[in-house]
Amino acid sequence: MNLRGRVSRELGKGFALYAVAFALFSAVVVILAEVGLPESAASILFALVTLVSFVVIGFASRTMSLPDFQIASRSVPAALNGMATAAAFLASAGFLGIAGAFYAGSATALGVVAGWTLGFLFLSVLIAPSLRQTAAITVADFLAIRFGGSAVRLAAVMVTIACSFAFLVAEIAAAGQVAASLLDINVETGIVIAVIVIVGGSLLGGMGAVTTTAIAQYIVLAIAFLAPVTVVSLQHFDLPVPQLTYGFALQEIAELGGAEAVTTTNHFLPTLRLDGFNLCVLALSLAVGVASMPHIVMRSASAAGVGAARRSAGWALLFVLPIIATAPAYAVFARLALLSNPAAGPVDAGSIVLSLPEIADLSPALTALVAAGALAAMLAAATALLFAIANTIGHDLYSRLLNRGGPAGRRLIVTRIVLVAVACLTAWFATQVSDGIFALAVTSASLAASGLFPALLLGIWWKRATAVGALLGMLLGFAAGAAYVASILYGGMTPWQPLGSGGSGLPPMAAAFFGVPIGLLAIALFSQLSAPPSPERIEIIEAIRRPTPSPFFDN
Amino acid sequence: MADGSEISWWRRTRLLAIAVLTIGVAASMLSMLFARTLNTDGVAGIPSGLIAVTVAVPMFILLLIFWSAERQRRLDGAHGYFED
Repeated sequence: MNLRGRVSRELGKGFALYAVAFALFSAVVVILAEVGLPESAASILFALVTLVSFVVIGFASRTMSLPDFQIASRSVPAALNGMATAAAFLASAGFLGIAGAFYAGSATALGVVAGWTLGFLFLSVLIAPSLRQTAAITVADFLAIRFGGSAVRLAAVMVTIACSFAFLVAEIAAAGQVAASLLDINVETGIVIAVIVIVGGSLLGGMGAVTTTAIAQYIVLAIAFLAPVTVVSLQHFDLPVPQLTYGFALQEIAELGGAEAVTTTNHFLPTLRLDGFNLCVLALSLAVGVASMPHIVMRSASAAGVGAARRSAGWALLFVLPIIATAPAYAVFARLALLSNPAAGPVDAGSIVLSLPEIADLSPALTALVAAGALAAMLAAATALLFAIANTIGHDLYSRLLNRGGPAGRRLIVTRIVLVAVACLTAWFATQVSDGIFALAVTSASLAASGLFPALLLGIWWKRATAVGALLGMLLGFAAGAAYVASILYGGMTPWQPLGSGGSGLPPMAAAFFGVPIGLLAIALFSQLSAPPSPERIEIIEAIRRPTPSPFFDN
Repeated sequence: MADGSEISWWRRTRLLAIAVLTIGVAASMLSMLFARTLNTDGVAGIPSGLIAVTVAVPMFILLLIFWSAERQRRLDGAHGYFED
């Protein structure tokens, strides 16, 4: 499905109607709950309406065209691409974690906000334009086009899977828990339902369906995230602008004084005491991570052009901004509510978004709405991650390495089979995992940065980078980042404090601090030690950089 | 092989990228590092440091992304590189 031009305008109108319809539906359910609709019924309504709509939208985007399936025919306009990127990006860390980090008073929140924001800048300036210009299907595909050879492609496939799989399992596990609480079923069934929705929304339509369902999921999560705080803001301060009125709430908290008991655990983001240096390192690690995560980076490849790829990152940040700007309001309103009603506490920081309606004595239907929004965010991320893994296995491993030149129809079928197989495998893992998976999942961006960012950056911006350098850079960089993560999470090592300063030291999610420099050094060193790129390779590099009407390398 | 025009275009592209990234990184890092100092003041009760990190700097970077995309488009056009 080509999403340009008239189709794009029709889609825009369609999603505007979807947004209005969902907002009205939510208002009706909340009103009905006030006049007697049971909370369980409200939960089921929110869950069913959103989940069914995601599957229907995904089904409506079905296709038998390989370019449509793999990359939405590279036709997605910047604004729509940005919205889909924002939905996939936010995930549980964005929807639940960032507000929890502010609530816990953690410096993590500042570092995460700064890192995410910078990440979109890095993506727009450094990576997206050239990636789109090559018309690559996956990150591994891009690196293979740039450097040539199968080894680089294979290494990139392994890094893609390694950094995406744990994140995917965590999101599906979280989605299963939320679905279970909404539908009053057990977690295993919730996981199965989440996987069915993800597969149903992407199996027939591929990237086009992933895009359209992600847009719908963004609409749901945005309305769900903004609704409760807006109601609190209106009730307490007569202004429906929580991003402003939480300042008044802060003044009230100061007047009331006292401290409420609160646990500071936050599944979705760690709560850390970080000094200035460590905070900057965390922010930069996350920034390069955002610019390297395959499921985010590949959205650039589906953009309608090189310029659209640049602007997509800006649109994505625009759609992430309301969440970032509103997260402190959740934290402050929750603190104020608990000061007024201590019996409602203590509250886990990671649950603050889901708990605010209850502790602020709002309609229980709003809790269900927020849960539906959290589910939408998790499903958006999980769908994008699943598709990134399936696409790289189907295109890079099967089509480019194992069965080069196979017919397009067979490649499409194989990618679909891989998608279902990976979904089933992930569902099984999701039923087995402990809470430790979330600690691993938050390191995914840093691991992606450690393995992929040096090769992506130098592949575009340094002609002398060779395939040998890129291969060793990817492997050594990823190994360094993974070693740091494993040492802390599983080896009992305490986070390193490079300047001997106080605080929590460098967390595992800042592992890119080790991986990226080692990757860059390895590429620089081994590129110099290996034969320089051939004149043909230099021409490819120059073509990757130049924006032209046609993609450089049409797969 | 790249001709003189392409070399000039790439040099300007690199300079634009370096400038934009430097400005963006500086704004982000400084806002975080000075958040506590800025928090002694506030706007409508919200500490200024919090406003800087969660609203002002992200909006600035948002504008920077779009500005840089437009500058690059004009730079591409001035050297004869068009997508349409």
